[in-house]
Amino acid sequence: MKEIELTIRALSPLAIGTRKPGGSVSEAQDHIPGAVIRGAIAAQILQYPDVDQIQPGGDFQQLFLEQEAAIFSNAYPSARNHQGDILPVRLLPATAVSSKSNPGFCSSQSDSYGVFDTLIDRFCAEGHDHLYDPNCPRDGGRVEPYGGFYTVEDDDDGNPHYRPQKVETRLLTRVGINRRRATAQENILYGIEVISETRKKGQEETLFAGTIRLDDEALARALANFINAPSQNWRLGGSASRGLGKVEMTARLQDVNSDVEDRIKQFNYYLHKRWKLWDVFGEPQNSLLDDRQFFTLDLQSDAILTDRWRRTTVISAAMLCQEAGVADRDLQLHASYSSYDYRAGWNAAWGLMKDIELVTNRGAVYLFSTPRLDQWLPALERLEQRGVGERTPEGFGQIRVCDEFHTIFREEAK
Amino acid sequence: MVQLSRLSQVLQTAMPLTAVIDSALCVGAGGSTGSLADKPIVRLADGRLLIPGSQLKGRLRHECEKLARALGWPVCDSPVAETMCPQIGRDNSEFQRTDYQLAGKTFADGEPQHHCLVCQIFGNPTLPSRLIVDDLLCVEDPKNLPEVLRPGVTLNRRRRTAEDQKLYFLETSPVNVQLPFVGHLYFQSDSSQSDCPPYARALVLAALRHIHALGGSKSAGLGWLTWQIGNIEIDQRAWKSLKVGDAP
Repeated sequence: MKEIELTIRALSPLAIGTRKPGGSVSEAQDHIPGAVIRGAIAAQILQYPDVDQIQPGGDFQQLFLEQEAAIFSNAYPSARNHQGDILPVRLLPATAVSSKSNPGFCSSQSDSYGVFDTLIDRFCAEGHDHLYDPNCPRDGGRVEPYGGFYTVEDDDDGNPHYRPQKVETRLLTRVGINRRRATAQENILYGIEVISETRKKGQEETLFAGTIRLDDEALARALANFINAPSQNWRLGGSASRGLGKVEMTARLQDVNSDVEDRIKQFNYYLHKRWKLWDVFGEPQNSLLDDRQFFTLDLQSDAILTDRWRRTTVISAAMLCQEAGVADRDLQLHASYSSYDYRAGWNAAWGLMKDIELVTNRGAVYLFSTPRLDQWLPALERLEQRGVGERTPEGFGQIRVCDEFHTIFREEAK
Repeated sequence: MVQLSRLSQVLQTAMPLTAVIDSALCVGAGGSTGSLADKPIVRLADGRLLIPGSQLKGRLRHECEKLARALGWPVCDSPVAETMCPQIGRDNSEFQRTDYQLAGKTFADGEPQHHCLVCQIFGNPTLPSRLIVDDLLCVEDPKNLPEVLRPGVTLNRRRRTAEDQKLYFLETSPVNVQLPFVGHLYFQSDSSQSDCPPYARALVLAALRHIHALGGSKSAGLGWLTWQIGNIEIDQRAWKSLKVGDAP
């Protein structure tokens, strides 16, 4: 499988809006959905005058219409490192917490008390029949869930430096002019919340990092060249003909190197180590670790999950077996942390609204265990590349197996 | 069949456009904060001045509508969606002309849709715009531009003194410094039937010549400008095609 690494730089405000069902306010999103990028690229291709849409086959069908279509992931806010390369952006899992009074990553510029993960400690505490009530490592105060995007960059001493990444938004007011009276037209005064084109008063550019994954190497190369063509004039989101949504999009082709096995090994190493630490409170009668290997699924984007034609927010063991195509009766779901929301959208090709979907929010965490991990490794790699649930080509259901942040414990909060 | 490697034609033709402000510009930003002015000027997130693309596009559309009507073309009533093209549920026979019929645009019952001359360029709620307008950005560093607050007061006509509660402050760009605001107009390729019509560039160019000022307080001397338009070739047939609007 090939991966096109997309870097999107905002040149004008981006009206990437989302409207909740029943609401009248269009709020700006904090990222660029994969569906928006997919739609923009498809529309750009179809605008060429020599495109023959009637004849089937070809690159367009392979990219957007087939069963194994390209996967357009969401593009999340990121930043460049000192060398000018874009940093990979990560998402905090739902199990991450931070101080209620001074939340945020530790840094020399702020007095934040740090962020840490609670998944492994909570699992060990419950396995030892104890309550788990984490508190802040600095002042012993209350903690609460802390989410969002972050990047990790090594500082001059080689220590990892965690930085939160978010976009800045502002409200643009627009009005329609009555042609006869030359004054504001009734009911055409409106506000658009937009993502600002720069951050920190122009000191930083607004950058997004995303990916497009597809199996065909030749097609991936052709798509990357198409995106990088100098004549392209990319516009994303709404009000694109009125100055908004102008972006610079660059593509870099690379191989997909999966390190799922290493991450699972690391996760299990820390889980066992932590379990032994909790043994000071007395060993449990039934150890959950006997002959079992653990792994987590961390949702990197909102997911549309269905269990027997009904919407759900939990990936059960049976669902995962079906999704991955693995028969494993011993697979067990130990914990799930998820919440839900609604998503709508607009399909420009149809000229119609998309269905309102109940989605499981990004950041959700599911902890599984199995005695037969070997047969799961290739399936998990494939799931990580293609996602789970429905509408995965639009960026829904992207997952990461055993996110590294689960090994950031309370005493080493970042 | 679509082959990405064979798509090599240039999609859009860009018309470089520069507005040189002869007086001072006052494009107000509704809901802005951070200024003492009653009507602050609109800026980018980094503080640069700009003329929003939405304002320029609206003015261009307004001028194009005037020109098209003068040439005898029937034009719909913008900006209200209900009175714009396509004329749903109306018996407007003047819009049912062949040059207003768009290929591939039909109602649910299969009847063809007709979109007026201006809608075919600027779009409407059912038709995407074929003209894309950039924000016009001031190339001057905002650090070199001082904040200019222009006080104003309303006079009481009877007493001929200042009216109570009518002292106000406008924020403007610096006065008489010939600030250039730079951007582009992009026309979709006109090599296929579904793209920008060939007369679009001619009509927009003529409309630009009718815009002498932008922003607020134009009648009070603000926002007057001179256009510098990049080289763009317009076929004589495009000018002639605009004449067939049956003007008396």
